[in-house]
Amino acid sequence: MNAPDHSGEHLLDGTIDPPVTVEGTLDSARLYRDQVMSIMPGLLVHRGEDILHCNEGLAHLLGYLAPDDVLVLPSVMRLVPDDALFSERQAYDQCLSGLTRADVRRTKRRRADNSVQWFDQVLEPIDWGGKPAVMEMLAQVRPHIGFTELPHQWQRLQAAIDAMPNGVLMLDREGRMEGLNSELLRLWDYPPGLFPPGTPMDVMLRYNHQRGDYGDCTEDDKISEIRKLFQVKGVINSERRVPSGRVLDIRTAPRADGGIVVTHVDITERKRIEDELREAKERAESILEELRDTQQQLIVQEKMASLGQLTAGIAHELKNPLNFVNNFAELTSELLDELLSLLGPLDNRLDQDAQAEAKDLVSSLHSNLRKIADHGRRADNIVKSMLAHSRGGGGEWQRTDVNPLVEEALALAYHAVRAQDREFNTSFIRHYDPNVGEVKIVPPDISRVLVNLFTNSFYAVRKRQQAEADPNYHPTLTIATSDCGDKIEIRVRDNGVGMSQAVIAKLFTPFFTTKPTGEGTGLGLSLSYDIVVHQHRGRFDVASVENDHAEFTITLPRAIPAVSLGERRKP
Amino acid sequence: MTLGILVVDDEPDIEDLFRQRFRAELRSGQVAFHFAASAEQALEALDVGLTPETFLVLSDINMPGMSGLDLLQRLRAQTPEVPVIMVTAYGDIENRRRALDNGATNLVTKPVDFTELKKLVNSIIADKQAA
Repeated sequence: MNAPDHSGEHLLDGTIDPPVTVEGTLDSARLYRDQVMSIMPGLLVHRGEDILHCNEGLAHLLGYLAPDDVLVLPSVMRLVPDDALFSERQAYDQCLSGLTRADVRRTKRRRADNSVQWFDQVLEPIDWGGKPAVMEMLAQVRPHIGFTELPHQWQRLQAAIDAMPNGVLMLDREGRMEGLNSELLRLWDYPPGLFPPGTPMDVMLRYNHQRGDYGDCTEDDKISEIRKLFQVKGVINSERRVPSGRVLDIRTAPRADGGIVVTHVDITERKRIEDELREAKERAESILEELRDTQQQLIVQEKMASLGQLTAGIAHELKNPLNFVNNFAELTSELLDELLSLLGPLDNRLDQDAQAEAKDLVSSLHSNLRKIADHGRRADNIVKSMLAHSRGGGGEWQRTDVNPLVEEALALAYHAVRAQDREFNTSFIRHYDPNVGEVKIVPPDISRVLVNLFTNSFYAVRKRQQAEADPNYHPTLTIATSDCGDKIEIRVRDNGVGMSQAVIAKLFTPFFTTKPTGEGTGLGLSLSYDIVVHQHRGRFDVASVENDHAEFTITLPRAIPAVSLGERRKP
Repeated sequence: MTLGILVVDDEPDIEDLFRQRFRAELRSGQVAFHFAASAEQALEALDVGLTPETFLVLSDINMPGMSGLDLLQRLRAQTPEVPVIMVTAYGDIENRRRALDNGATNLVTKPVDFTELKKLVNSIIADKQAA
């Protein structure tokens, strides 16, 4: 048995001949039953995916033989055409949570034979077995009251535009609605029957405004803006996101008689796929970028590692000969003394001039040996710094409270400089940002960097003080920490002698120093740079004006990417 | 009694350095030095027997051929009664640990501080004589 024709019109128009046989009366009864069935709404109760109840009317409306054929469906969504899945799921969810009032909607359903048909629908939240469920009633689409009076041609046109996959709205030259199709009602979530033919376009726009489609803007402004769009001759494309969340591609096509046909295409799915593709592309690009960065870092690390190996190698090789130089210089000095005490009694065998000359030679010898020892020690210090440079602190990564670390390094550096020069004095301005908190670092290494910076600053202010001899000059060190979200900053500023651009350019070069020969190894800032930039993936910035100030800024990231937990170069 | 100290180092100048540093002790006949340029030579010399008898061994770690640590292990097995002082490089924590694990009597860090070394040698001599 075929399901009754959904239009059902010939059953209702009463043009059945009276039966003359029993079969005829039975046919008549069957027809009557079919008639009743066709006007009965289809009833469906469901919760989530599960279909809980289905009446005969619904089975018939959707072309199934019996309710059981609907009840065995794996999901209620099987009855919804693919392009309406999004909106129906939304409508069901809202109904189940009790958000929806029982309004009539125009919707489409997939029939047993996979054809798609428009229905008018009422959704109502109900209680089913003690738990909430959705009751869905489907009825044949009724011709609009306004349309029933229209000539047959119009009805055929209506059927034609209803069959179109896009929303269609036809306006006459005065901007009154001439017709619209079911898809338009669905796309805009308009209840069926809202805009009978002849309704001015403005009413639709005002309706949209009142339900909040246009946000907070003034009603008249928005309406005149949209009206203007319609007046432009030619095809206008505009993408709009409507309140239901759908994205519509709206196109306007003017007709020869001055009217307009507006088509609405639901491009939500396309947009979603486009967005996903774009996101995937962006993700891939950002991963690629990260990989490139990592690769770059690895190259730099590799270079630095081989430089470190070279440094360590040189230092190791120099160490032993240097030890001999220092040892023999010291010993020679001792031996010379012993020799002199042995030769002492022979002194009076020499004449006055020879004695004076011998004394002079001996004192030169002593002084030379002292110089050999001094320079040997200097070389020894350089070798030790080089080894420290290449070996790495061996410290571990720890979450560390930064402000106390800075303060501790400051105290350490200040004591060291005061131990050398009791006269030295400077004032401190501290700006510690409590939001800096803890950062994952290698504490002894960062401490070393800070001590280095403070020591340099003390040196710079002391030098300026000595050079200017101005009683109004007050050596000042400003130490500031600040929280910059995913980074922290430590700034050390002094009002010392400052540096020229030429000095700044060479500042981080190993062995570059502005201190007098013998006072600095030229490895301090090079090592600091290595610790901050390569090990901690931070930044090291310098700004200075000669005889005014110098400012060093260390920026450390709060989180270091796992792939590149920094390491100091190791031999 | 003259005490024999065997110094093992691949640097030939070590000999002059030790002879000059310990010149007072050498002159007074307190100590006598034997030198070996490698761990192999040291083992050979100990096998043959040295006069005066070796009382203390002082060895570098990094040497071509057999390393000072291997020598230490052999000496611990062959002549456990002879103390061995190892000379380790500045900051070489790994070798210091291994030297102590292998039974070195003591460690001296390069560059060698001879004042300290003399004290150490004297204390070992004192221990030995007391025993």
